[in-house]
Amino acid sequence: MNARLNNSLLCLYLLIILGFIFSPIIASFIFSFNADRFPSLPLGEFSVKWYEAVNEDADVWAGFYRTLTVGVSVAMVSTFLGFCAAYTDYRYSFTGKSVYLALALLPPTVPLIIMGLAMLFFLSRVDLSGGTHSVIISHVVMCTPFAMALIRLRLSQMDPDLESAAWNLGASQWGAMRFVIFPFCLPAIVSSLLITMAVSFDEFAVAWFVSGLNETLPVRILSFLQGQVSPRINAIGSVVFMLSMMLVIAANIILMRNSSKKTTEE
Amino acid sequence: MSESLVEFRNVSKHFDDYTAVDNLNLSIEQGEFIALMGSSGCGKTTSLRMLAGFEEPSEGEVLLRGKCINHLKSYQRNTPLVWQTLALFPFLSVVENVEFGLRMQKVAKPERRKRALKWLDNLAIAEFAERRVDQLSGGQRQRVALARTLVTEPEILLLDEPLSALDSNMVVHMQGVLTELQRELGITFIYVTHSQSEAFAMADRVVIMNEGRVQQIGSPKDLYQRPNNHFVAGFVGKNNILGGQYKSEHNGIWVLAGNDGDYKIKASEAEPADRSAATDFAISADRVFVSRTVNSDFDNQFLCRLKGEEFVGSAVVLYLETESGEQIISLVTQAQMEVLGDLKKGDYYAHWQSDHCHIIKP
Amino acid sequence: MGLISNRSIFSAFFSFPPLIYQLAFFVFPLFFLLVLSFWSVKFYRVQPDFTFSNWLYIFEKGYFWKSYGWTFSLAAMTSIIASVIAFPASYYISFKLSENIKRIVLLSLIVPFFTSYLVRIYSWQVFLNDNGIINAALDYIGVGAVAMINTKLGSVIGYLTLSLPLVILLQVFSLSNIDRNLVEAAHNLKCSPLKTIFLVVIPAARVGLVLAALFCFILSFGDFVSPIYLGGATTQTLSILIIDLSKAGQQWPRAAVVAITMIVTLLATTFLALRFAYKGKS
Repeated sequence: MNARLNNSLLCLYLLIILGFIFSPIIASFIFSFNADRFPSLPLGEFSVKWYEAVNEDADVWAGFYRTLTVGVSVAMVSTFLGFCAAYTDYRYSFTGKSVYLALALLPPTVPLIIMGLAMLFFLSRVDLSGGTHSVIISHVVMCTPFAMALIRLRLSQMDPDLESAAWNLGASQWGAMRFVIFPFCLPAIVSSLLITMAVSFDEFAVAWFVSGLNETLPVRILSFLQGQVSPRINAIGSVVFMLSMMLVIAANIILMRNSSKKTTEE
Repeated sequence: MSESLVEFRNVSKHFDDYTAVDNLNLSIEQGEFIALMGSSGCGKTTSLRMLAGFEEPSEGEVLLRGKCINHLKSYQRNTPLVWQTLALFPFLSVVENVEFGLRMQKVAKPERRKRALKWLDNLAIAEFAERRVDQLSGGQRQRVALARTLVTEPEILLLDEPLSALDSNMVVHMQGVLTELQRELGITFIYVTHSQSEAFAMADRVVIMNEGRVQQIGSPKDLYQRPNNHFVAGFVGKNNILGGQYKSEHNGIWVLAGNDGDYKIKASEAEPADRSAATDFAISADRVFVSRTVNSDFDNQFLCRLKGEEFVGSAVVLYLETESGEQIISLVTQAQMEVLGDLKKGDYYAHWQSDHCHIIKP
Repeated sequence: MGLISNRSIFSAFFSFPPLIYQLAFFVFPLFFLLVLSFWSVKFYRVQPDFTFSNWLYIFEKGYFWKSYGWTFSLAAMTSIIASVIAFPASYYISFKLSENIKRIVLLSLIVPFFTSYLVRIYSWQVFLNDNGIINAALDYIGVGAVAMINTKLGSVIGYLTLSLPLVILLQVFSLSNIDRNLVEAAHNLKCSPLKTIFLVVIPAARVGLVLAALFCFILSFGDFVSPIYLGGATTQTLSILIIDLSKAGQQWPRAAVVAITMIVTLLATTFLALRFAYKGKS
């Protein structure tokens, strides 16, 4: 009886915690359809005018395209670098490996504001600041560790004899890489592409420092936030959230269908 | 005489300060089924990996058809290996796994599909061609691994404990499959195992290794009947190891002075032992008989006390101790047990023939 | 011989790109930041120099130490609050939920990582405003308005928004790795459930719990959005100070001094936390 009461109390507690985490997300979605400029309860009329306002804002669209360009490039470059680092860690042992791994994994522990400051100053000295490419360069530094961790995890699930088996059957090192290591890591590579893209999509601090006049969408949101209250933030946030979730869900479905297709085939 | 298919010539392999293989010399002929046997760390797997091209010898040469292959990478020699873990590619179907070697040789797709299916058919697993490997049973996966290595029609096949993951019924079945396959194809099988029953059931010759060194090479029957040193006598079968000082010889029968009196043993003509040194010999436990009374049919008779017994399936192991405290074990069949009647603690005679004794090196 | 060079091309192809990239765009910029802290500013332009004046200037300022103290204590407080708040939930998720529900809850905890932090902070403004949703509700039940936005409470709520999902995930991960037999053995030895949590579960999961708190500290220590938009910049944190010095004041070398002080603090904290986490373990 007592244990049961405890359990229901704990369950209620978990729901409150989840409520705390999700209320800003849900509220932002709800208020994006609220006609009132100053959101409060009770809700005003249903309206899509904030979405229209966003749609008509050329800056938002430009930021969106820039964010998309950055996200796609960052995903590809950091996944490639992460794959290389993960494979190096998996395959080779050498002196100074712990330093190598520290370089590959440390960037997310450096506060974004400091990364932004350091990147801006460095990139402006080498004449690489103020453009979309500056954001790409900086985001790759921050996203590579995530890619490396995901792919390294996958490699650790691999039978260590698999690569040798490929050599034994006549595959060169490049052949084993192409026909065994790469296909084995493919699920992790796909999720790495998505996760790094999502991290890049949401990153505003470093982008704010280095992008100059070429604002990305999150930087645009930051400037909305600095200005007066505007429910347009809710509208943008909801759209971006939907897009991110759709990407993740789509990737999951593709991966799952791939594996179930092979399962049901006779 | 033609050259051997494979030859290890004074091969050693060191890892840092640890010697995995110590001066291995071994010739393997075309069409042989040879087993490398020993407990873990004896150097059998390292030897196999040097032949497959995953390790380079520290000293000596590995020769394939008389040519040194020390520096060739694994993909530059056709020495396919069946792995202990099987190492099947989980992201490929059964038939794609089997095709892999041909794909690396750039054989055109229809051709390689045809050849892969033929091998799946040979091994009676053609119906699973499109399945994923994780949907197969242990025995079926084993056959896929075999088909994958055989599809390139190698003249040699390496097997590294391939049956260790199977349950005992399946092991016996797969032993049959492997021996039959080897006879049919006539190619050389080099089989690494820690299991005596696997090695002895299949191999023409068995190489027993310990701590990086070859202990004895011979047919299963040889090894069983004529272990030539302490290690092999202790490792193969159940042997009693006894010894004494040389006293005299009569008609090829040596008399050794032991702790409990004279041992009579038949000296091997092939390898004359040093008469001046203390001589050890092995007598297999199933050649030691036990009775209540003296039996003059046997030329070795010793009074013992029965210390214990242990049932091992169809036989019983009797643990005996002589007056001087030597331990003697005897393997007695159930039928013989019935003749002996109820065992009581007390005095028995252990006896054996000098013919079955065999001198061993220290 | 051709082989050997072939082999080194292969290993170089995979080993060098991440190394070169992170050296060029991670290590070098941070090192450059250190160099920058010794440069000087003349006519609003940064000039190469070797002077300690920036360090002396910053370290002599009372407001620097005040904001250092506030940033550190707010981050430390947040990581304690987050750990304590998260633990019962993590415990419930790892020990009481069935595998399927557990997976759903964990997946839902990943969702916040795919939503914009800025949007969530904006949403909190709506909740916490003096005439926002919470105060409207409080007013409705007859309690007077409570100031939440532009206070330290606001900052902490923002920090928690950022770090709580991660803290729960890391805690669940470490709690799930505890050997269940350990817990059953404790119950078997007549240890009450609550005692078991303190004497068995928490010590066994210590490494993961400390790491979760550490990540929360790192995130809160460096965040500038919460203290500005929910804390109303009432408390000037080090991150706000960096923005003021660099973006507004063009005092890049001084901003670098603050940044390096932050990095050193984080490294020291990480070192101490890891020492504590692995104390008595190999």
